[in-house]
Amino acid sequence: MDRMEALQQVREEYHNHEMSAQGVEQLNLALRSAQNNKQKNRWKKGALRPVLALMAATLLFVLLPNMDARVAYAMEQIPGIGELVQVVVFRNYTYESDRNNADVTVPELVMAEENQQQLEMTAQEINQEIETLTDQYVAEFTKTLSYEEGYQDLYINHEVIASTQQFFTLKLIVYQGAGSGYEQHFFYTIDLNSGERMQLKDLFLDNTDYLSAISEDIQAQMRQQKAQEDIPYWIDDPTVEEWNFETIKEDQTFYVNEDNELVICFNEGDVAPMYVGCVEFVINQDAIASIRR
Amino acid sequence: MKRLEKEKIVVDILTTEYNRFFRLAYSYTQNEEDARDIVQEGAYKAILNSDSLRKTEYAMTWLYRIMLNETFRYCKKQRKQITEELTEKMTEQLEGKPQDTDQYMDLKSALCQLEMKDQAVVTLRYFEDMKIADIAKLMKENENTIKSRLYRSMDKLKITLKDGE
Repeated sequence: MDRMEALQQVREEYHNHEMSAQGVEQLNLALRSAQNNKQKNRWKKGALRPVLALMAATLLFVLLPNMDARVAYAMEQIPGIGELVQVVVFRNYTYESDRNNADVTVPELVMAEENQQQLEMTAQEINQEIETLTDQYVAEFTKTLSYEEGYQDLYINHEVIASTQQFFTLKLIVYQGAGSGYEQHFFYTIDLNSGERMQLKDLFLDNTDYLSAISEDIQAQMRQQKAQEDIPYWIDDPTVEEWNFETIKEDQTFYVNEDNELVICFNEGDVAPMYVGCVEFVINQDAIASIRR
Repeated sequence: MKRLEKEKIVVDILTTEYNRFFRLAYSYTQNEEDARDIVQEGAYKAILNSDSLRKTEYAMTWLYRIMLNETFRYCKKQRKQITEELTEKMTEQLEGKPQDTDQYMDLKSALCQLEMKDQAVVTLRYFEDMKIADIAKLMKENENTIKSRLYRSMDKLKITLKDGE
């Protein structure tokens, strides 16, 4: 066999490798999830496009601290949400190169009315937290930029998930990709009656064991989903007992949806393998009705 | 071109031509699982960034570039280990085999030991029959660089090119 024949043989072997059926299935799942994620962000990004178009350079950090609040309303992304609290975007950070991509929008809460002192303070506190958090992620991103190798993505976006007479909740979505992706959700909820940050305990009567009531409902839902949809929650799993879900924490992330139902949220890797993603459980009304305020 | 159209083109190529990217990745990883992860990760990134695709006719080239970048990234982490494992595996297989297999194994191992970009050029040119100009586009290098990568590699692989190649 001469060298050319050998090359021919290596070529044949090269073409013999095909993705397994299981691989194809996984790929299709990845395709769908990418499309969904993009779809979710599309209209929001679309609203920002005129602003982004002005920022032609590759690396931008736009700070418009002196912008009049009335101008800010013009940039508002979501029209007509709630009467008291509104979301505006003053700051963006975008970066695009072969190996690094970032698209960060930093939401800020503003009051539509004055004379709402407590609410104003709470909003400022939340704004401060969001700013600190996003600054951290951006700093981490820019630090990694200086390394010559490696790939990374950073996407930060937000949505108002519930705005009723009683509650206002902002959800901050942080996606970090470096090899595999990692998505985290942060929730900021204001009780509009008191103007204060809402905590889980505020939803329940004093001296009630709401943590157990909620946890038990979640366990039941996990068992059901595990059996019916094959979602590999860590529950009743003898392999790593300490990973098994026992109870929610006192500062567990949560929100109240439009139907006044309590929703408990877990980040990736909290209650199931990372690839399952962020998971949410709508708590059965019957499970907590007797102890809810 | 509308953004949704771009995304559709990218999705279409990925769902029909995934094996192209898979075998390319496989030639580096030499195992199914890692090759699969590379393609998946590449596909995910491609869809998220499909808006940045400029022309439809570049979609295939653009996808190859993303997949190759993913592959290279994987290699930087793993390559050394893989090459060692592979050489070991091949030496084992070689013992007691006739001369013919020897040539094939030797070439295969030499190919794996090429610099990763050189390996890509050889693979795309000789296994996927891609044009030099297209390889240059997808690797973002000029055609002469690609040619010299090719000649240098052929030298290392001890293959004499016939005229016109």
